Amino acid sequence: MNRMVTLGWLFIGLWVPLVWAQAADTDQLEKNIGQLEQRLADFTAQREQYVRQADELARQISELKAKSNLNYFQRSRLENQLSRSQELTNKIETLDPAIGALKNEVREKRKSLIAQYDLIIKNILAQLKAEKLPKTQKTALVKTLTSTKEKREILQTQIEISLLELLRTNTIVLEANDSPRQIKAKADWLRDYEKRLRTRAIQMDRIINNLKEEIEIREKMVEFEQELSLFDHRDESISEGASQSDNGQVRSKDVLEGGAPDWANNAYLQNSESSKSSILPLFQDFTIEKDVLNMSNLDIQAYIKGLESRKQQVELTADSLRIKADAFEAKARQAEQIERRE
Amino acid sequence: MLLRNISQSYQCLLIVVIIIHLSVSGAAGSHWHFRNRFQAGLEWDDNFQERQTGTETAIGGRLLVQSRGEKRGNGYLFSYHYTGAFQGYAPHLREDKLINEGKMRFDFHLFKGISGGIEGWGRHKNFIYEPIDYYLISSTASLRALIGWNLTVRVSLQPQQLNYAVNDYYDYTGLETGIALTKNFSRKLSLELGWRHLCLEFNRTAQQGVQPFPERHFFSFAQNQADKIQKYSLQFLYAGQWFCSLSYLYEYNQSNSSGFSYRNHWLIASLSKKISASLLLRFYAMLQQKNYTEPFYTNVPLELDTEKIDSNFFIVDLSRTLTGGAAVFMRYAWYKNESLYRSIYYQKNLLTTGLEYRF
Repeated sequence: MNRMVTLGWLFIGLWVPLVWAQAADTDQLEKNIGQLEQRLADFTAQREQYVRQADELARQISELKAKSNLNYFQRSRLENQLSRSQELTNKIETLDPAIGALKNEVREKRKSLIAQYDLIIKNILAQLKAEKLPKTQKTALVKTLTSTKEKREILQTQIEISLLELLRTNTIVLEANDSPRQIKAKADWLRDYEKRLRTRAIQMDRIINNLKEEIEIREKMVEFEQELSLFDHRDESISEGASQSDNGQVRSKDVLEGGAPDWANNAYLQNSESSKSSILPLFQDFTIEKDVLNMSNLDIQAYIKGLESRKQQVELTADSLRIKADAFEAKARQAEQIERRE
Repeated sequence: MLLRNISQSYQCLLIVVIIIHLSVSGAAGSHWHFRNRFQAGLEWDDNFQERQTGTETAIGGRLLVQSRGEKRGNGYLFSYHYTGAFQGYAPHLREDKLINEGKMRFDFHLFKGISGGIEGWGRHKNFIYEPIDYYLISSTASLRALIGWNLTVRVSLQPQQLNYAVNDYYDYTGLETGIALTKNFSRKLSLELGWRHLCLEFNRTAQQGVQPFPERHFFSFAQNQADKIQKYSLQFLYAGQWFCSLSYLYEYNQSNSSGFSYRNHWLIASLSKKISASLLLRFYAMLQQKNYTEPFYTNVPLELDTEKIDSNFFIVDLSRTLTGGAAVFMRYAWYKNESLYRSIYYQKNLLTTGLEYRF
């Protein structure tokens, strides 16, 4: 019995420093991650500020460029804005790799931390299984186990979110240490997004067809009324010219609100600078249910054109996601076979 | 006279503004969007002379050329349309006519939520073998503002003028002021409430019958005939997978010349619906209830051109789109219109068929 107690104390004596050492490593990693996250947040905020400034400048530049004859002051303002815009682009381009590197570092550190947590959990479980411990000690270990598990869950979620971000920025890649399960999960995400994009493309197609039909009906009705007024003796006092009835032809809300409408702006529809190489704007950025009643036919046509180009973009992205998902699945199967053989 | 001069100067100014705008916009190299249409058709008319009795049937031909264009710039929208048409009944040359109609409109942003618009419209009807040619022109200046709750208010000022080539008796100059309030209930449904006030000054003196024989003795005023017309309108509009409009218009004319005052109720409905991918159904109908408020003793026609007066009709049109912008159409129309003489109506049926080409 004494021997057993001695061995027990010896085990605890060896385990406690080990856990303590692990805890010290874990603390250090947590601290590091905290610092990296802070830097990342600062960099991202800085980038967002630059992007906002660049967007505002781009708007001012396009306004000036739209004017046919610029006077001296407008020309020098344009030159000044172009050079400021270039500076901002350079700054953004410098920040992007730094942000990317920081994100990678944070992800790697989080993975290491998860590995640490896994080790701690494993040790605690082994300890709880192997030894009959005093109640207080057992309670303390269970408490540590629960909090470690919680921390691990949070960390795992953060990694998943960062993976989702990667997916959104279209840069999801396989990493050397990815397990078959992780590769499969990435393939599933890609499939899920592909499916959502396909649904979106179908929706857009339906809206495009409906709008085309609406515009055709509207135009032909206007033509019909004009024709009747001309040939079939409609009273001029209630006809188009004298009555100021515009049949939706000139009810252009965007003229009321000022400036060219955003949906008529090709640059906006193609992709803004801030959303370059991102899948996310395919889901956001535009509302497909526009108020077409108050739009002139020209605006509706520009809007349809924009939607068509957007739909094409969505379909292309969905195709590339499908190809990528297929490749990932093949890779996952291959990795599984290798794992089984080992 | 003063009103006529103002109207003419205003229209000249409008043309100058439009020409300047076209040259400036052309220099800027901005894009236009054009739609053109050519139509040729045959028409069977069971009362082509618009008579109450002794009606005659004739088959006529018609040609139409239409061009429409729009151009959007930063804060403005420019649009125009031109239609040229010919209608003729081979053995009855006096019915042959050429019609030219043009409209130009320029909408521009003023402040946030407020836009302005100027428009010029004109129609010239040339009867090839009859001396009753005329032109009707109008120009409109309007302001439109968003006032919240999806409500838009539009105020407008519109001088207009009618001029017959050989007879000044029916010529007039008018000035119309209007206000319309539009409420958009949803993306596709809107309701418009409008009020317009039109002052017409004719190129003839006002007359009043003298008792006890007003039908034989007339007293002519020193001033010209002046009509004051109030128009109240209510319009529902649905523009979605089908286009539907329903309007009610009440018109009240108070004239200083005996027998010209009247009250008029209009009910106008239009509908357009695609029956299949290539078949389009269009319907247009109008019902009128016109009551003259005082007796009319003379036998002077209300107008020179019967076709200027329209009362009750319904028209059904079915068109089928063929390949490459071509379409074929068939149209039936029924009319019961007031003739050149007040409260006397004639009736006619029209069957039209033809080909259209859009490019």
